Amino acid sequence: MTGEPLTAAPPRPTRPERGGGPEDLHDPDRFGEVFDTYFAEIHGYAAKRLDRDTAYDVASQTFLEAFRKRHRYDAARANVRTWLYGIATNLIGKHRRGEVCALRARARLGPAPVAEGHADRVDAQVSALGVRGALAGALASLKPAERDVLLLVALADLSHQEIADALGIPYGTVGSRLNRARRKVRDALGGTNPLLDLEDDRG
Amino acid sequence: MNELNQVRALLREPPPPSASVRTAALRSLEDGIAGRAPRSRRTGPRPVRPRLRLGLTGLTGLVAAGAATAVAVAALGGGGTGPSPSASPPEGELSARSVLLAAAEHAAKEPTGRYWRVQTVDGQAYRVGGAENGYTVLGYSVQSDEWRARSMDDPDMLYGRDLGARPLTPADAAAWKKAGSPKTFRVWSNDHWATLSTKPGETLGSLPARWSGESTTPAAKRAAGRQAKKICAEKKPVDGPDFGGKCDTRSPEEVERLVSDPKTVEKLLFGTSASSGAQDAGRDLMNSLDLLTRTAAPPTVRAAVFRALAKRPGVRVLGKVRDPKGRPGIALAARSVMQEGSGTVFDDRLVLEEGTYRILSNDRVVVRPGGRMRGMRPGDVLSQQVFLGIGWTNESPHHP
Repeated sequence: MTGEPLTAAPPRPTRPERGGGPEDLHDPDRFGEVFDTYFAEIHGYAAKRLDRDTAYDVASQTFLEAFRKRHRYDAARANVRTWLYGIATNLIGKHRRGEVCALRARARLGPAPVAEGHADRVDAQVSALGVRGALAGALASLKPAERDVLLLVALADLSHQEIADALGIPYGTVGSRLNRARRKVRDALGGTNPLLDLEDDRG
Repeated sequence: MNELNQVRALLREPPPPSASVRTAALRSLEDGIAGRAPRSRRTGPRPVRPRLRLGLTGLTGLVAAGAATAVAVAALGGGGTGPSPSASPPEGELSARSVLLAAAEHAAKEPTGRYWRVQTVDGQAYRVGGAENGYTVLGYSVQSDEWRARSMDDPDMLYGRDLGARPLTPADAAAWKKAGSPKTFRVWSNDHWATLSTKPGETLGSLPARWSGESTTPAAKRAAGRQAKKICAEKKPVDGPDFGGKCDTRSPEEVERLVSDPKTVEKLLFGTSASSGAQDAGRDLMNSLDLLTRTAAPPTVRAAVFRALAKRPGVRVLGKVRDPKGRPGIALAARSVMQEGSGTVFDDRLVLEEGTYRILSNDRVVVRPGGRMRGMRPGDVLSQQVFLGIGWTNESPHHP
């Protein structure tokens, strides 16, 4: 789900060394590497949380912010990808109302019909369980800080430490926010549903 | 299945960004960073902003800090005597100010068209071999043809192709032949060894040998403008040395309305510290050049840019020269210090055609090397850009 190659980028030869690393961040001439490497991924993250236009805004804004703040980037604290997710998440925070409204709209719609053909297995399960609406409602009702942490785990596969670095919050806070978020989501889905696997995949 | 998987399923993978979304974002990054005027060329180590275009990025890194030699000033050094300039300052009174004011006068009279078209060939200079038998090659060289629409309702077009590496000057070509005309060059680029090929299209990370193009739709242009506005609205007044006061998002139309006030133009170009000294002269010159070459700015704006530059301390005249294509011109120069830590002092030079004051070329040369550029000598070229054609046209976008 993360780390997808840049499907939209025109095919072209790669650099001898991997692009988009911290050294590119500090060399203004090479900042384009950072963009090339991560734009599709950051755009994808934003597009999962926000409508298309806003996702575009957030994604492009993320790289502008990153460029402006590149002097403050500390390679010892976070890798570039993590850092970009932090910036994107903070920008998404400015569109919180939109995100919540969209989730609530989905909550009202309730179970969605299974799309023909290409609905993947998990999606089919979600629909079959009739939980789509409840899930969207639960996400909408999370505290923004909890939603950020939950979605950085679910959508970006960031570790607790990476989330702590990305959002500039203590490590322990990540765990507590994540636990609260997951509990709320489970409760909304009917916490005792035997179909739900309660195993923590990131502890 | 746990709730994390359910969340993932609910918020499914959206389609990847389209090429136009990506391009628009890249443009917006460039424009936003620059504060709307401009994008810089692919010049070598630079104190200012990046060049991010057409997938050429990244490889424009710092230049050849390789072996020592004094080369290539020949391109600019020779005192060509071209036709007598028409609206030019009297002979013997050549000053940066008089040249730039004459350029402003010419710029104001240029009839506009549908597109501002700029055709360039550029590249980075690299030293191959030692001081004695070595020679300098131009690598990462791209020919581009940019069409910037005067109207926001027309798309911009950008074409480019990789040219392959080649000796910089005739003297370099002679040394290269003497060395057996090798087809590849191993050069020190920034922080690693890179191999350049004389074969077009073989440049890693650059363009194919064949022309390729990309367009920016009116919608993407507008989105980029909005984007830059938004970013700039959130921007703190001072945010690092590169961007102090440079965030300006006025549209060309808005700028046009403002140019009656020279102070506004100066502020747009040079930031808020209008009194800043000559240490920023190189940046002032390059910012101005960006606006003059990479935007469809109307004649009034173009003239105002020349006039504003005429007031800048630190922009000096070098005299009559021939540009790298042998065309007679007048060279201006402005000095800067590299900000990548080497302390290398360099000049940005701009050659204007005699008589017409059209932009012919610009390059960047070492004045006093430092740090990892210590191996270089005063006069070594770091990068150059030659304008094959620049001006308004009513033609439809195409490449040569």
